[in-house]
Amino acid sequence: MRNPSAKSASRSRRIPRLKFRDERIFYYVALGPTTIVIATVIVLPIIYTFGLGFFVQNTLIHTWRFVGLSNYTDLLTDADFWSAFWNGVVFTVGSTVVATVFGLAIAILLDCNFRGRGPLRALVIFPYIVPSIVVAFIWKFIFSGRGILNDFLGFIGAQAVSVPWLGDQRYAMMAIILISAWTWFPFAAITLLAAIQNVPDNIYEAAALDGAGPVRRFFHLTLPLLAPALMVVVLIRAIWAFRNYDMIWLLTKGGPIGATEVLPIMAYKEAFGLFRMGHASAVSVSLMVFVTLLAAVHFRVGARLRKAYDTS
Amino acid sequence: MTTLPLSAQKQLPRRNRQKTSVLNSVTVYGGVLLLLFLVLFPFYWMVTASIKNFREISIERTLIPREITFKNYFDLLEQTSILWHLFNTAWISCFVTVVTVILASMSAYVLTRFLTPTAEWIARISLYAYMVPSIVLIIPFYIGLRMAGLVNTHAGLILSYLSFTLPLGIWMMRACFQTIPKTMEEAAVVDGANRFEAFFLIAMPQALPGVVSTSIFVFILCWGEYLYPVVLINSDNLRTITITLDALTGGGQNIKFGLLMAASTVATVPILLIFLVLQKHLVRGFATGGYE
Repeated sequence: MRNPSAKSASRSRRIPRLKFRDERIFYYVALGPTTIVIATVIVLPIIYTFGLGFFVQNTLIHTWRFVGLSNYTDLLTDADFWSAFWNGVVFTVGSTVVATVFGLAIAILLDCNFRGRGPLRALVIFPYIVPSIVVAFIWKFIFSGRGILNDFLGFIGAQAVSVPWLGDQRYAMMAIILISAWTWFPFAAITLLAAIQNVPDNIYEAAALDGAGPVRRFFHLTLPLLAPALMVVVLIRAIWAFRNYDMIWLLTKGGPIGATEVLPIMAYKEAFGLFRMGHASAVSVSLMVFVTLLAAVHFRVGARLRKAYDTS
Repeated sequence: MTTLPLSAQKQLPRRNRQKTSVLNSVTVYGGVLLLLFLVLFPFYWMVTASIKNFREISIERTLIPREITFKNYFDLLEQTSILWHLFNTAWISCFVTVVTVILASMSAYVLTRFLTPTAEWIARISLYAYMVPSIVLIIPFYIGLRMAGLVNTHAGLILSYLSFTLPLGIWMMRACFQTIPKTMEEAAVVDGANRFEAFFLIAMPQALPGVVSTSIFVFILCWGEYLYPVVLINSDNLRTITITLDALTGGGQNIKFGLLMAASTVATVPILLIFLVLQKHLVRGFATGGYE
């Protein structure tokens, strides 16, 4: 988007080649409402949050005091902020890796030939489209101290287990990573499946003729060929994991003792628990900065990949 | 980016990978069974728990319910106005879907046909808005809607939903219009059609599959939305289904899982129906950027 040649190309195409009647009217009618909506519900709120980060207000609204950058400097020295940041990193890396590895395995499986492959390909999407609150409740039930998971573990290990997985400081993070990976793997699986199907068969046949075993074929052929798609999946998933609010809130509310508190949850608690809108805004803005950095990497990589695809 | 594999996929013939398959059939069927178990067991557990009695849910934890009871559902109807909340959710989701699809298809069409700076900015903003954390928007929404007197109204909720549905809609519809060739519109202009006719009579009919995919994704997102209604709605009669569920956990350590699972089942049924009827469009929508 930023390179000059693309810009001049777009400028030369700014005027459509063929002249329709009422071109201008259509342009404003079609784009006008969307522009207004985007400005009101996206652009203005973001600017407002940015501005709010420079104020402090104690009681509900009305009393505002400009404090400059002190909300931000407070954050930088706030241990809770950094622990929330690192929790977010752990959650993001954990859930992205688990969802992607699991998704890749499923994609390879769904590429194989077996009866009922079509319905199964559709079925794997289901965990992804169920409301997050339903997913959270089901797993809360399964992972509860007297839940079926502990029964199962007890059955295998032949001794009673009664760990409240989501309520135990040591296991809560692991539990939310696994649960969010369960609901996010379909995205990785379906995207990677499309990429696998793009790999021409004859490459595998040639490799098989040359005596490459399945393991070597996977690491030397499949994985490198899937690298671009994997990159995209990982980045998108990471962005969504880092900004995720509802799944973690519904499962643990950031607890126990802050073990799963991430930046969005910290911002929510500041805003609607303590009604410190200024602090909450500063937290949200920092969150947005991190997400924007990830998004910038994503756009970069995406643009580079598209270029690579175009030239090959 | 995710559009790329699928568009290329269309050109390739469907093939079966038998000899080249990395795994042999035993592992394949083993994997299939494991996958089926992982995907289906949680839902099985939810539905069966909703029709078990308290003893079987919390103490005996039977895998197959021995005694079927609908007490949880009756309790649910008695203790909450879940049917009314379902209706609220349905109409809000439908309304937002219709508004999103109308706005998104018109603007996405412009974004692919008129490459003005404004259009490019809108494309960029909507792509970015896709990734903006909703927690960043909720604070200004809460304050702004309070000032506008729209807190605790469906109008305010609908407005807030547009902040995430519109970028998604624009993104998906743009991918759709990019695949539609301009030649037919060009032929129409020779015949003296105006842009409105070209859009409504020529481009839109071709974009119908994209409209269906986009509608499904937007509807599903609205149906499961949690953060906005929990902050912006506090009257019981205005609640959406996610808040009904949320309210059931409130109060005390003793979570009534039977009731929760019954409510979860009720909230899942509409999604299940959409899934069963429209799964073909869902799979396609997935590949054209429906990655929420």
